[in-house]
Amino acid sequence: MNCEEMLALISGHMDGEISQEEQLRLREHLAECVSCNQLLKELQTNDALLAEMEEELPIGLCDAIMARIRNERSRTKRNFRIWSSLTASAAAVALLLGAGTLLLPKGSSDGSVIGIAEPQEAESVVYCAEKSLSDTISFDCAAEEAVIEEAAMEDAVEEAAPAEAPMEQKLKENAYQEPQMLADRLGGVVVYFNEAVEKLQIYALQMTEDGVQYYLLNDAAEAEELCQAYGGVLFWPEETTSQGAYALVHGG
Amino acid sequence: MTNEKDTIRQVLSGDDDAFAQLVTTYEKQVYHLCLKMTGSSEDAADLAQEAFFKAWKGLRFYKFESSFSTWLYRLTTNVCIDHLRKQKRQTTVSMTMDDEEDRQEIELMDREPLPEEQILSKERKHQIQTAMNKLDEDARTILILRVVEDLSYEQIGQILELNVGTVKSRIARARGKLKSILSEDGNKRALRSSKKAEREEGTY
Repeated sequence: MNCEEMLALISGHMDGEISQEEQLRLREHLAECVSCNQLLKELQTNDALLAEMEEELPIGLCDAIMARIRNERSRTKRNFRIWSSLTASAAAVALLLGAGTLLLPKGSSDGSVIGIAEPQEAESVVYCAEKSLSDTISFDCAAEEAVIEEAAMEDAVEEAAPAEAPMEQKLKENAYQEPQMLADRLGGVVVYFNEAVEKLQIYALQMTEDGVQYYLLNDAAEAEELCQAYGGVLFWPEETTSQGAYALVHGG
Repeated sequence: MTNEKDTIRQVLSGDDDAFAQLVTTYEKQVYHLCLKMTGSSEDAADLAQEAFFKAWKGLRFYKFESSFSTWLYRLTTNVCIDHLRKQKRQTTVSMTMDDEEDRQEIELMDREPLPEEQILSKERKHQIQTAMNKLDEDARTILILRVVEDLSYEQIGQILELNVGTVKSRIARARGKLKSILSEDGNKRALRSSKKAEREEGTY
């Protein structure tokens, strides 16, 4: 029995996760081995030290969280009112980015609505003049999310865009941290775009467990093609663990 | 007592107050996890907020497959790990871990004399957190989930998406690593205090 095996056995024993047979083996060994007994004691002490630190919760943590959520909610409601007054007329595809800039990919295909309905916005409804049905479309203006929906508004783009320019600048400064982190997290190459790329809509949209949304590409070659074709930036993971490839849009 | 699934569905249909219930249920665990990961109560408060905010935003992606606490834990550990990696990249070369430790220790020693007990426990807290900060993020995470949050190997496996065997060996290795860091630090401290004693003797 070597040291590493003993460590695993002792550790497992401390957590109550070793078999009867292993317990027996351990007990036999501990009966004769002084250093392993010492090891067990030391590890138990360290565990106790680690577990004992019961710090107080900061006062108002829950309130701070709820305040942020309510603030976010009212922000998106405000933006939605602006949005619905602009969408009064027709139907096209718009991509809402980061600081609220509206961008239109050129030429929308069919008349279908590609909407990511956010449960938090369930009560928001937009009536599109060209459709007889009312669709539940909702969106969120926050820096981290992009929603794709149908509206036709060349004019709205011009109206909305200039007001948001300074914000976008600030966002760009910190922009490169996110794609690098994503590449490290996913273990695959990430092609990063500053603005929406219509072509990406054919790929599956995913979300990481901490809220970052990205597209799943087929392979690294595809990432490179998209990068060249649409002016993106490639980010490679520090340790290449898989051949996965992904696309990330700023603010998306 | 409202069923948790119902609460989640309420939040999904737009009831923000329902989310407050989830916050109060899990805020202690989330905060402690962030605290142990970073060693800083300020960072922990920010990260805990961040985790809950992202949970609220991304709730529609919670598919009711795993338990909500597993999903939340996973989200929280990822928020913490991202933060630590970002910090690593931003650390300036001049400030090494040892310098930081020395500085903190000097601070500790220069304060008003405290009752013996308080000194010991403050020091111990400081020692263990310093040692934890030297562990890599993955080792830190898994140790906290097992020893502090008291989760089973299986639960940890679900959160980190590892099989139980891997969880077992990683925990063992993390414990081993922590032990060697603590004894290394202990030796350093002993060396420093003996040097200090020598200097003090020298002035007479």
